[in-house]
Amino acid sequence: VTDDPAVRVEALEALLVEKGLVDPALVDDVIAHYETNVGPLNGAKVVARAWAEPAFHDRLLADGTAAIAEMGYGGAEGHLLIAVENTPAVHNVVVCTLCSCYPWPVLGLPPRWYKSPEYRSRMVAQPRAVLAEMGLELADDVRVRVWDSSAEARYMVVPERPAGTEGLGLEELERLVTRDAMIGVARALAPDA
Amino acid sequence: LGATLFPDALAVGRHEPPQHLYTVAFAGRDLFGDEAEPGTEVRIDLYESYLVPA
Repeated sequence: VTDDPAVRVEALEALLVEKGLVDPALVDDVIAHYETNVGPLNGAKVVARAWAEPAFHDRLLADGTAAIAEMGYGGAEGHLLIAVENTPAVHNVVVCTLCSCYPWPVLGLPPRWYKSPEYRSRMVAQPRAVLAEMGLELADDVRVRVWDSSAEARYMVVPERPAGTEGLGLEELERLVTRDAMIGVARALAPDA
Repeated sequence: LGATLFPDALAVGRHEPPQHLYTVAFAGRDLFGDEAEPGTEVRIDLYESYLVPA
């Protein structure tokens, strides 16, 4: 018996294939789909458009699922998508204390640390300390709002638009929006970064 | 957040009527007392059957 999850998953997959319960080509297709088609770039496009287009911004905050569907994203692990917006007064951050609920259609697969017991337990109790450890220092007068995802609703953060980005087009804006900024553990990148 | 299937039942294949799901905001102090960081809030999605009148 091994504790290495990769080995155990291999063994599980081999058994399922042997019993004819899964098609290995289909497993590879699903992995390739999430590696190439679905990832944080989708979320970055959503955020960039919200920054650039006030009407879309308002639709996104009013009904995230519908606004994100306008851009062609949705489906598995994203039937109810909710966008929450950072402001100078409020910083939002997302956690799933029970497991690893995450908005797959816009952010892809969750990073390993998002699933760690440390992040899941400490982010609710000491969000300022955890954010500071992850490199994000917040002023004392900024309120921290931690969103605990359920199986049902999946949250994404709309980070604050960085200063000095007024003249940028959508594609340039997208490059400033990182996965971590949309989880709420980082700010959007500065335009010259 | 509207009516949703109840995952506690769904996960074990039990059929139950959908439940309403609510986002409830708790001040950090109410959850963690004196150990809470100032100016923090936790918003948790809770199914109707998890809630009792305060």
